[in-house]
Amino acid sequence: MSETPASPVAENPPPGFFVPRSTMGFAAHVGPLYLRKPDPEKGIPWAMGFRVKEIHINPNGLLHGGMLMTMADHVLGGLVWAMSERRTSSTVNLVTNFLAPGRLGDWVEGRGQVTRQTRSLVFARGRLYAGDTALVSCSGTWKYFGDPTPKDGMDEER
Amino acid sequence: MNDTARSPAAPAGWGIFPVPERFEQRVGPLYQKEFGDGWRFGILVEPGHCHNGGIMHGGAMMTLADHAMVMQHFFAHGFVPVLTAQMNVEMLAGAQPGDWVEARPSVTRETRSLLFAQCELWNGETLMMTASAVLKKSSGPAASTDVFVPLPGAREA
Repeated sequence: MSETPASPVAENPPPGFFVPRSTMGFAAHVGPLYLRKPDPEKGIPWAMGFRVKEIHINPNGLLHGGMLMTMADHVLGGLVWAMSERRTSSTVNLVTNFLAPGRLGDWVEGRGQVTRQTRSLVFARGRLYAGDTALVSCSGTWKYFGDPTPKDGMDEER
Repeated sequence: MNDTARSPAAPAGWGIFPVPERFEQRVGPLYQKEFGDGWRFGILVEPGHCHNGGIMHGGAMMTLADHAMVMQHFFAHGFVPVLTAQMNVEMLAGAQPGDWVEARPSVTRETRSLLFAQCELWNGETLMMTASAVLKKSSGPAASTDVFVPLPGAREA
């Protein structure tokens, strides 16, 4: 794995997006992935986003599907985590439909909803957009595991 | 991640996917080797492939499986590019730094314009992920956006 080269593409996230202090490991290596907390009064939904840089491009010159699936996993998994009082869960199943290609410089934003919650499983679905264009629709299943105690502060700004 | 952290090494005889400065190198190195029953692809898991808790990230697993299903066709058919239109995965078990994760892709059915593929990810003797995908064959490099159906203005309800 290589270190981050300087990119001419500016991160320039839209207002309200920040890098959570829990960002490390793979999400940091391919990111950063930004988070925006919801503001129901202003109609602002929970969302995550990232800027497409050179490191995300495939040999065809388009945004790599692996990055879109990484983002889909993070958006829905993060949403499950936020909606479940921050319980730890792992992805059991993820279905990704690739609707349109992402390109260098795009701001890719993901939103979703939890469709059903049971005692041990959570079902969620969502979409990833570049502007008004849907790049990906996705749905998946998450399973809770481990300590049910909420983990505070991981979605705070660092 | 640096070379000194890469221990143990990948198995002998595996090459590295040779595309610099692309997502494949970012997530990789992605290894590859041709066997009697087809190509296999591998990752030697490093801390950078993992979640905060040290378990391999699903994004890295899905990237490897996607790469494997695309490249098996790419290598077998004179480097005709294919684009992933849909991919389903079931995550069955995890991996940790130092583990060798191997992707074994296969073709379920091939039509004139579509390729149906499957892929298993193995961590040693443990099946850690199954994947299936629908891929669109491309007529030329980066000229195949006809596979995509844009949904302008589509938004979450």
